[in-house]
Amino acid sequence: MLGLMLRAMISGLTLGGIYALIALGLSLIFGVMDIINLAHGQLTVLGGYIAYWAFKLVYINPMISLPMVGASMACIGAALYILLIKRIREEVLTTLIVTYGFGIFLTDLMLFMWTADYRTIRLDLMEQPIGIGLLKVSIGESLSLILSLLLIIALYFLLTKTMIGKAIRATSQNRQAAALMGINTTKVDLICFCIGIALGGVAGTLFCTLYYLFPGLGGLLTTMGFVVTVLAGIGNIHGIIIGGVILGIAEMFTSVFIAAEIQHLVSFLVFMFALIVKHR
Amino acid sequence: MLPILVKFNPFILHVMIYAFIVATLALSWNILGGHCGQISFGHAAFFGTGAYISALIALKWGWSPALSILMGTLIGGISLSAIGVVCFRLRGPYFALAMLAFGDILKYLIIYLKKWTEGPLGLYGIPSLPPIKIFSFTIDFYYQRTPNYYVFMILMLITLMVSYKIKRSKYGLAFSAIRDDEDAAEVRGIDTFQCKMLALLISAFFTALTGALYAHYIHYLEPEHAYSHSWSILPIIASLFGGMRYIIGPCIGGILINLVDIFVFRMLLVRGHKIFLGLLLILVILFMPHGFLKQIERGMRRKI
Repeated sequence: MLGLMLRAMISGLTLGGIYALIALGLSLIFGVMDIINLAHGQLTVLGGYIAYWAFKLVYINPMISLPMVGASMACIGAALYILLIKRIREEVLTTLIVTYGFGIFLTDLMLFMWTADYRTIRLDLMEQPIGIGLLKVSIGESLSLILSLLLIIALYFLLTKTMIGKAIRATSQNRQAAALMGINTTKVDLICFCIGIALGGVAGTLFCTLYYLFPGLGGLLTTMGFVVTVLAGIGNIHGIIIGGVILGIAEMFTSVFIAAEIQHLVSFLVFMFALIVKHR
Repeated sequence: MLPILVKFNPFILHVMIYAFIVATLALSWNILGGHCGQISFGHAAFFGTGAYISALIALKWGWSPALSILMGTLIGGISLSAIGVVCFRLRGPYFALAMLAFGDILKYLIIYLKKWTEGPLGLYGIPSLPPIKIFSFTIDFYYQRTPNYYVFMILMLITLMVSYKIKRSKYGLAFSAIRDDEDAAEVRGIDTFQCKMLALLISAFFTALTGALYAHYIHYLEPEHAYSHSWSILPIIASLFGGMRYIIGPCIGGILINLVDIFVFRMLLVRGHKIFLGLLLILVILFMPHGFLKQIERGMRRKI
């Protein structure tokens, strides 16, 4: 029983780390640009598929292809921002519908390219267990958890210690005032969007090494990102780590101790509850 | 008229029935989304619940479909719209997100309550509407498509009429005021909460009714299909495409989108035909945000 609980705890922690990464990208985009990116989960899954292809076609370890996935997703994010988001960003509801449409587009594009089969990256090296006694963790899991935590901390330092971070925070506080102070807000938006999407792509890669990908997953991941964001409050990085981990552990405990098929029901309930309490 | 023209071809009739369903959903979505300005991403919740309740009552208790549809509509539409009490505390995008979560919560509940709903296995052999006997002539809903075609056509026309009546009533004015500026409407003495609830109620009622009828037309239900996000998205695309400010816009948009989807998109690409739907949605917003009817109107004016 104790072993099972510990196991669920560790799975919840790794899953929570991935959720936190997704939520971080989402909340960066939302906090700075006021855009609710409903295609975020689909972009995450796309990142996972890129890593999957790198693994399948040229046999690159996902941990090595991680920076490449991040870079390519940042490029996709830049293209998306320049071609689409920049034109429609005045009204919140319009961006909502457009990103939703883009999500449908991406889902079916992935369905077309990779079919609806479940895809995953399996490496013997990543499956090796490490740990003592009851506490056993596979290398892949621990790497994933450490990487997601490191990335979140790196982003925290980027936001608080660098000039560009200062510009991002200024823009999120007051766009007009920031523009008057000589900050190029369009550039800030572009950078935020790229970072957000790249974080999503990295999360997708980590997800792909631990679980499995399929095109329909995107919508679910978007909602998970929102659950964490809403739980934590916009732009609150500590909150996002805690929210992600709580959600991951709650999901895993439901999955292990109640029923696996309602794993996500908990998150949706938490989501509605948090929305209603916080945003009325 | 169409059934005679196509010589009762079952495939074309089936496509038209689907088109009517999408048009009805779009019309009822538009009462809340277009007239009242409350964009909802969760209308699949009403559709799926209407379908599931009606099918369950007909299957498990053996009620006549006519009665079970009524019950499905009452439970799925009217009692579920109580969610508005909670969700209307939220504004704009938050409302849309909460509704999105609401649809998924119901889906997982149906999956979880295996004991009553068969869970992910789905429900088979849902009875169709009882045959109607007029003297020696029988209208059968099981073997023939034509009666079903007329049922869904009449449903669409009723929804259109109700939508028109609401738009012309004093509530229609209140809805428009809420859509344009909710705070200003409230200051002007409109009970915005009551108006939004009314819009949600009517919208949910027709969505659930369509769902219930759909269950008895298709004879098979499964949670992933009944609560599929398509039932929430298609009406939005249809309304936007046709034009949300026109009463007839969603109706024409729904029929056109469905026909184009089946005869063009699916012919081009069987797996992943929604690529085009997503693109269409984006293009519509970018290039004709007021729908294609507005575009036609503008073109006409230019000629004169």
